Amino acid sequence: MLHAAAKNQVQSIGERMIPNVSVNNQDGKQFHLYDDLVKGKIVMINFMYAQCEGVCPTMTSTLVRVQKALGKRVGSDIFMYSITLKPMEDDSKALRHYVQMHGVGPGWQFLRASQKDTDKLRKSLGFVDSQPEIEADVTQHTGMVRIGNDAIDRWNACPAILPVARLVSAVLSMDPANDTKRV
Amino acid sequence: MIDPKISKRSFLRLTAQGAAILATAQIARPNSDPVSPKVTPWVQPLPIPPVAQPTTGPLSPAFDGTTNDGQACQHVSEYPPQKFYEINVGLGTHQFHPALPANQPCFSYSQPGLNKAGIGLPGPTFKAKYGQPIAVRFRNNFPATIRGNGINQTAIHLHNMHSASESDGYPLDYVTAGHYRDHHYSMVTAGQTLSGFRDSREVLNTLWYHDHRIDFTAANVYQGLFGFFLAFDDYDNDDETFADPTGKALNLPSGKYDIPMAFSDPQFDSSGALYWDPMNTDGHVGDSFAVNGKAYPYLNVERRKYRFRILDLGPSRYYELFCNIATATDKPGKDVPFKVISVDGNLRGSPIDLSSLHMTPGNRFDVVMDFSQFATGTVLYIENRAEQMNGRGPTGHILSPGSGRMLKIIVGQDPATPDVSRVPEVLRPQYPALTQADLDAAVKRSFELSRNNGVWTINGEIMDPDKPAFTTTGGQPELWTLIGKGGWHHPMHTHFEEGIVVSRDGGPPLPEERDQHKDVIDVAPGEVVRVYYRGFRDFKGRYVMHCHNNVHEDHAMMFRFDVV
Ligand SMILES: [Cu+2]
Repeated sequence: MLHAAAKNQVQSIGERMIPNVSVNNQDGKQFHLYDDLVKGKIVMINFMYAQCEGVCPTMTSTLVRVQKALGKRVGSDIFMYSITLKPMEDDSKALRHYVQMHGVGPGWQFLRASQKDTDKLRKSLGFVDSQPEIEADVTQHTGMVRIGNDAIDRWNACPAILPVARLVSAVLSMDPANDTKRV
Repeated sequence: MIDPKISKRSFLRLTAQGAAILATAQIARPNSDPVSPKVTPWVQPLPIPPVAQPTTGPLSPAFDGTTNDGQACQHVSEYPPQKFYEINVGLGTHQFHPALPANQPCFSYSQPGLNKAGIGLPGPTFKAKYGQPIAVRFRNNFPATIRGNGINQTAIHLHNMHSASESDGYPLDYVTAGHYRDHHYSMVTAGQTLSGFRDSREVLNTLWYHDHRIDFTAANVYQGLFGFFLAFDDYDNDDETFADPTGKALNLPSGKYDIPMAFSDPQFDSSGALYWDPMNTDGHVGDSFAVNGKAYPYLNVERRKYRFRILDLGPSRYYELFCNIATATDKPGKDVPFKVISVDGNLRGSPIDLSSLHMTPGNRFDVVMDFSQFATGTVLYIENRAEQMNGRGPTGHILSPGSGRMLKIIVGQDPATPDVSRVPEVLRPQYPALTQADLDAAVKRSFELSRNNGVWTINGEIMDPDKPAFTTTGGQPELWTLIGKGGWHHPMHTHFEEGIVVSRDGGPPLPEERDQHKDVIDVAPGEVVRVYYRGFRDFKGRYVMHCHNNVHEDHAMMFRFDVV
């Protein structure tokens, strides 16, 4: 379960829990989610859909500020992914438009999978509700951000409405080299 | 054998909640939780954690009256530490059961030479005394990088201690690997710096220390960062044999007859390794039971009185604990009530017999069990009969006797020396019951506990460590209304000062809650609970209130409040 360096052949938590499904980004480029986008990396993953008028725009603008605060690290060792909950509506063009509209920088990709794989991904990343009517409501799965460092099997999740500084520090906490609080 | 009290409360909850609770089911995710390997119960003794040892001299480098991160310890000159302790926080090894793999990595509080092989948790038990301030140096001995759940950074909270803010383990006062932090425990009772005298009504006994690092509390505690902290005074004095000329000493069972027990529900994977699901934001519900870190242990007792200090270690599990006498064929027999002497670390005015102990994560009950009433060879089980499917809390359904056996107790011979311990009818002086005038004079606040868009919220807000939800001035009484929205139980924990449940849904509190200081207060789905605080006294600074389902807490169900 934890920090056993000797167990080098054991699957990582991410490999075990995150389905390696096929996804396309806003430019239509295809990836295997775990192998290409998560394996060995520090990641932030959230769910959204382009026409969301509730919490999504606030959340996206918060994440844009997080991206700016993290600077050049985004795209080099920290990767941001937003997965659409409505892949049938949000085609590549819609996602590209969303990226431009919100001023999303490089290193943050918007992804779409098949509807079936989207549900699978959502559940395996913990965006679920044990109350059936809430579980069935797609608008109820956009509030959290999954963060993790696959290289050291460290995973957590944060509300996307956290103050920007708190989100930044939560992401940096995934990096063992980060020792900003030296006490 | 269903306690009428429980069935009534469960019934009320069910009717208040309607079909929502009944319809609740665990949503299976594609990689659903593993099933723990079957192990033979009752093959290993209940381990008793070792007692923490003070240093023989001053700390090196010396304790300088600060926490070592720039925060001065309040009131340290009036209450200078008389004893110093060093606790290492880092990796250890542990085995939960002889049939499960040995030398499994765990997180561990330790002192050199103190822990037995194969036992990495719980940490050493502190024994402290009111009037004898201590300083504890917590050294973060984790390696710079660790793999797996939890984090190698630590903030230590002494649960329910009346601690100064800087020594309270504020979730952002964490220590990174290779560094240390000093905590000063002044061992004063609430109000003591104002009145100048130790108020027996505010003396605490069964506390526990555990990790409180922001966002990682549940995983860090689950993997081993917890231990007991027992506080004593002239009444509850850790010596059952003491012939006290002043007549104050209660002579409660002490020494090896005073046993702390941390109840928990670990989950193991198919290889037998401790399993934690970091993707779960609802709560951890394991399929195994452990006491003091050993799965299904037994305890041999003598035919005499014992004090058991029972802790619900969490992170998310509720208990309805029963004590059942097994028949000759190991079938469930009659239940025996618990004689409860202390609730959440507060000795009661007098003992109360409860047919079961309703516990939420973080709760403690001290009970005295008199095994002289049983014949040698009698077997009793401590059973958890609360049904719980997920992080929402108990379903309200009470399982049948014989379910949820956690600890086997085997009654042995008479003690070598006669049992001189007592359970006096008068334990500790108590405050007079709260009056309407008390409630009227209190500052009113209300807190709505909810879940919006997958986010646990308090009044629609989440933890902002840089901004207090409110400020209060020392000694100002407060009356809080906790409102449970949605289908979840939330065991709410306030640091620094205790609450008293005034009412539940306009009706009376549970029998064991009446006029009782408590530090974790359950709020059931749809329930409205009013809680009174005598005031936030003696120390100033940042504190937190949070859900003690630590998984909720780690997903920001917490707020900061400031005492100014
Ligand atoms: Cu909660």
